[in-house]
Amino acid sequence: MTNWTNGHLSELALESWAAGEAEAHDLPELENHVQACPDCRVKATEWRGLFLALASLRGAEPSESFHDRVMKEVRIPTEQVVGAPAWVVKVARRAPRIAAGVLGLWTLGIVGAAAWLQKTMDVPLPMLLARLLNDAEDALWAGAIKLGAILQLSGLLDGWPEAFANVPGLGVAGVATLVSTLSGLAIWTLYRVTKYEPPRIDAHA
Amino acid sequence: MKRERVPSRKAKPVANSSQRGQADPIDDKELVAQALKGDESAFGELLERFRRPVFSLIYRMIGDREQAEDLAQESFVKAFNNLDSYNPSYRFSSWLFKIANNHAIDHLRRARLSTVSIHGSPHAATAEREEETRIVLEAQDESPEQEMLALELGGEIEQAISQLRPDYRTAVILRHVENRPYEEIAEIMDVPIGTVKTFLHRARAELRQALGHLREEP
Repeated sequence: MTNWTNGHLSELALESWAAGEAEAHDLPELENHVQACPDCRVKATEWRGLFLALASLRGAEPSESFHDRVMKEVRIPTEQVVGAPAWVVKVARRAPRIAAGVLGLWTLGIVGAAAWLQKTMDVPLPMLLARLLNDAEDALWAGAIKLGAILQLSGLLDGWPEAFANVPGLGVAGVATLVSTLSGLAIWTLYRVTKYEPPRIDAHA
Repeated sequence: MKRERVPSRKAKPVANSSQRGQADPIDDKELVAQALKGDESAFGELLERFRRPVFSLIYRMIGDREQAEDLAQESFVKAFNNLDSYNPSYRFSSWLFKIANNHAIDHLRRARLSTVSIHGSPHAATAEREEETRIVLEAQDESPEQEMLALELGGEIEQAISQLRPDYRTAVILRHVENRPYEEIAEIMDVPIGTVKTFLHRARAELRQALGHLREEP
């Protein structure tokens, strides 16, 4: 950086001198010139006035409740997640979004498949829905009783509430799995009702 | 009349690990590692260390205490809930300030504000609300004469800073309020150091012009 412009100190030189950022070896020369040159002294005084004003700036303090407000919304990593590979942690944190996406796609698939099957096989819709609900109800009860028994006997039921409370997104993922399973049962029922068989392709024809 | 307190920088030292019964302060990165292991007190200490500077930056960028608290809260929550994405090869403070600064600038963009008023929020619907949102300076541990001078200078400079464009304002606040080195300001603003120096030089030139009537006695 050149310190001089037409025999006077440059604005940059005066600024860094007033900010206390001038090179040590330049200081005597700068200070001598400021003392000797009225024009540069005026500018130096302005720069020093600015830095004096900047030095008067103070920080601001948030309200007393700020700490608690922040901590209330922070998700503290749980022991289940600690020590896991980074990708597992990321997937666990995004579990609700992933589950919601999978659930949405699955529902779309079910509705699309049902509409297509009903149209293809020309099954009366009221009859189809009645059979569907009937079979789904049976499957739900049978599934719930069997699942309950498995969880109870294996001891998994005891730790379930804690897992739901601690692992982020596990509740949503659980619901998504349940709905997906029931949807699978429903489409299986739909297949049985319509007796649909895919067209056979004769490779030798 | 409600006045907001903006205490002296030296009035409240940042919390350190001496509160945990140790002599030396724990490094920010060590605290982050502890927080990632599920240590709630590590989150608390990081918050204690940075709540004032982060709030202070956003407050000066926005000019409205209530909104600044909300934005600072959101910045901390965003940072703490994504702590695993922090790269320890950088300063934690840079990462946190970058989140806070970007959040404040996004807010200014949404609100279509480039400058702020120290006389109260431009969104204030009533005179009371405008009074509540004023940036008010408070001098501490100073003689009455020093206090008067600080208040006078502070008011002038606050007004001038609030009229700077946002990136100049960020650079000035980080350099002159938070005393951050050029390298860290460059990291926070995601620009080269030379650009930070240019921002500061231009900002100071504008401030000098705005405060042209201030003269130091020879």
